[in-house]
Amino acid sequence: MAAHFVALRFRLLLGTLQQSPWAIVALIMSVLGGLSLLGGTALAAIAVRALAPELGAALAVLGGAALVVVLTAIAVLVGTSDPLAPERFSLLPLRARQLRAGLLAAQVLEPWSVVAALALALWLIVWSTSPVALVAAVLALPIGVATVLLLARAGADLLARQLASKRARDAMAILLLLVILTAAFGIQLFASGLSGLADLAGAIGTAVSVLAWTPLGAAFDLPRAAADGAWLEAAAKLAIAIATIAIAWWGWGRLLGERLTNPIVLRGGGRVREGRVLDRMLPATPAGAIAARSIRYRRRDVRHLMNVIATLMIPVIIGGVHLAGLVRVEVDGAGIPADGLALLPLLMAIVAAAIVQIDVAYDNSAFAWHLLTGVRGSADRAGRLLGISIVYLPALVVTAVLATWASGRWELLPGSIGASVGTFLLVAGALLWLGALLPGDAPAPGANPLGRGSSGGVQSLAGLALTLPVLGTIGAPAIGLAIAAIWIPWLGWLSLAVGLVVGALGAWFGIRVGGATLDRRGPEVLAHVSKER
Amino acid sequence: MTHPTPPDAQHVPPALHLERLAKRFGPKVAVDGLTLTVPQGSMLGLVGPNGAGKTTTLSMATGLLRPDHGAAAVLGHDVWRDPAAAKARMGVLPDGVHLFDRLTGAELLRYNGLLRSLPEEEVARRSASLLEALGLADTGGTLVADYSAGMRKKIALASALIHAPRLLVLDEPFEAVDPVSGEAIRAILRDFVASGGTVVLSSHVMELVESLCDRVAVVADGRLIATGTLDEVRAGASLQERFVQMVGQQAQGGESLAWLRTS
Repeated sequence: MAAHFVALRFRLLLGTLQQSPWAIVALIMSVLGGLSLLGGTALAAIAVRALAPELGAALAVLGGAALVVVLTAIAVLVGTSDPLAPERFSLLPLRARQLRAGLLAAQVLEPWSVVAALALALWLIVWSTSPVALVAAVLALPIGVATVLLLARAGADLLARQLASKRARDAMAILLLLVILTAAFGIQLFASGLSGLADLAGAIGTAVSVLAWTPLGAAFDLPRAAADGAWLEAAAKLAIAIATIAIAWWGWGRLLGERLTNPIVLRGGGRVREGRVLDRMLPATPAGAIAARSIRYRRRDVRHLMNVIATLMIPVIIGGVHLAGLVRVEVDGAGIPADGLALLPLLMAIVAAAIVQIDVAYDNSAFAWHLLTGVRGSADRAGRLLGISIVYLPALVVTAVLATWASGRWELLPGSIGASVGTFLLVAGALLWLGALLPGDAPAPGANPLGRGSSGGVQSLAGLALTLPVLGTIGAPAIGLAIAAIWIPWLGWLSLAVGLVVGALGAWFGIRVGGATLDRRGPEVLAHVSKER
Repeated sequence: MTHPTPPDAQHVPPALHLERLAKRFGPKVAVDGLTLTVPQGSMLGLVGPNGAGKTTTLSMATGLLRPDHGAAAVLGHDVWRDPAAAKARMGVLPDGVHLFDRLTGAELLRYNGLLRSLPEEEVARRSASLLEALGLADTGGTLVADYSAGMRKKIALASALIHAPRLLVLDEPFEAVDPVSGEAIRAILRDFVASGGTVVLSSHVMELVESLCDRVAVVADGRLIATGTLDEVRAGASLQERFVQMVGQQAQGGESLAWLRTS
């Protein structure tokens, strides 16, 4: 039975690979990503072993518990589009017991399970301080791996039913996004704040000793307890760890049994307000209609909403960290004074414009209606640009005002606005054109918004490859003048003027050239974005 | 079913003309040199077994899928050389295609109407009467994503009708639609043809094609194997019988499934 599930898992993978050469490239990228994660873990383990072996035990507990939480979150998000969802087996004469064994076997071979198990194994390096610790660590390794995999899976399946409504799923996705963003910057904060580690060590020590008595951490504290010779403590923690695994195993079986007879049905959302204001504000033309739809989608479609939130979070997080004085942003070894804050909206502009390339990919096969109605490519491009600009340009200006205020130098405002608005329109224009050639990938409508394709797919790397040289050449004057304005303030006004001209040029290029490209390649774009992934 | 006097083929272009259309996906030939002419004022039923190439053919005829060879023309306008003219005259209900489903039904109709450059007041008037006729008038505020399968079919059909096309190409228009709405759709289509419009619809239900269409085209393995008026194609038998005769060698049932008999 287990062999069937494993074979099924690999057939599904092979199927996606045969569909498109891009899928193979994506697989190679994920393998490289996994390898780099493992490489990072190995380096960290070696560094801790060599430089601060006394930290190894605490980091093992923290890392193990974090792994459980992260894998649970991944399993929750993957769950909505899981090809091996328990419901799919509910018409087969299968018992929950058989299903549990089969799903576990298939899960052990999931790439992220393998990476987690290997990462735990690499942490053995830390325990090479004493033979007892090493032996205990080797013996505890399978317990740790089982804890991570089973707790994550049982936890995710426990949440699955609560997350069946569209609203709950959307909220969960946004929450997770915020956690990931905060964590990403938190790690940076932590890394650059290492000087204050001594104070932190005490607090972390307390947290770890509590965590080590919970199901999340007990399995990962066994080697330390054994190495310390605290056999009673080790035995107690072993009991906690084994009980955790047993309860997760039993509870997971119960959950699966329930899902076989009472499948989780994804529920829809509530009613929406039909925004007449938006329709009155925008012209009743094809481009106006596309812009209105684009704006409605930013609010109503969680995939778009997450992009908006992520973009708006960037200045908040970086600005906050910078203002708190915790991180010094450095360029070429020299610290930028707080004046540099005035350039924050520029970063936001580049991120906001990056999504333009894969905007059609989010439409998926609904893009067929643009082809059927015969709407011109230039109207399509203009409408999308208008909609996205109405969402982001005010945000850019507000961010510019706030960032300039925070920097304490109002004379930097024109440059800040000029560089960011100009760059936004320039990059968006270039990507409007590129998007008609390489439309990229996006999660399907209604699918897990952080799932497959949420990074834009491999083709979005081409977007980056185009963005950087465009910024470095055509975009350089406006950006350079805005930076120079820190020392020579009146150059900011020049930056504003240049930015508006360059932005207008970029928009014109995207609409005209991008539109003509889309007219030519419409059916090919449709074929790419509507492909099942 | 009667239809208006056949137009003079010399002067009036056919509503839809497909000329040796061909498409292959990798090693599989989906459509293999298919030629079909649909005269104006007719209602043609496109039938064929699963995988015969119906949807692929209709996609190539409507500008969604570029053919490897061949041409398609709507009322004399080439779909691939002059798409704007052809698409302006054609309304399409595609099968298996997402809708912009984070809009409400009324918003979706407005969207399609404006994409076709109709005046705003006209769009509002038409979409109100379409929602009424298809029984969707009381769904205001509900996203199309939360519609049932049948309701989605109806709102997609309304989107295909909003610009008052002269040719309708409908892929499985009655699938998942309840009997009452189905009757409403039939009445709309009959009225549309009676006023000189042309309908091409695909279906698997032979009785439906027999009761609704005056012309039939049978497709199998990407080729057209029969076409003509309903009576010419069914040749005295029922359409179901003729269809099985023409394409259904495998539909024997019989001994190979003997194990399925319960006693």
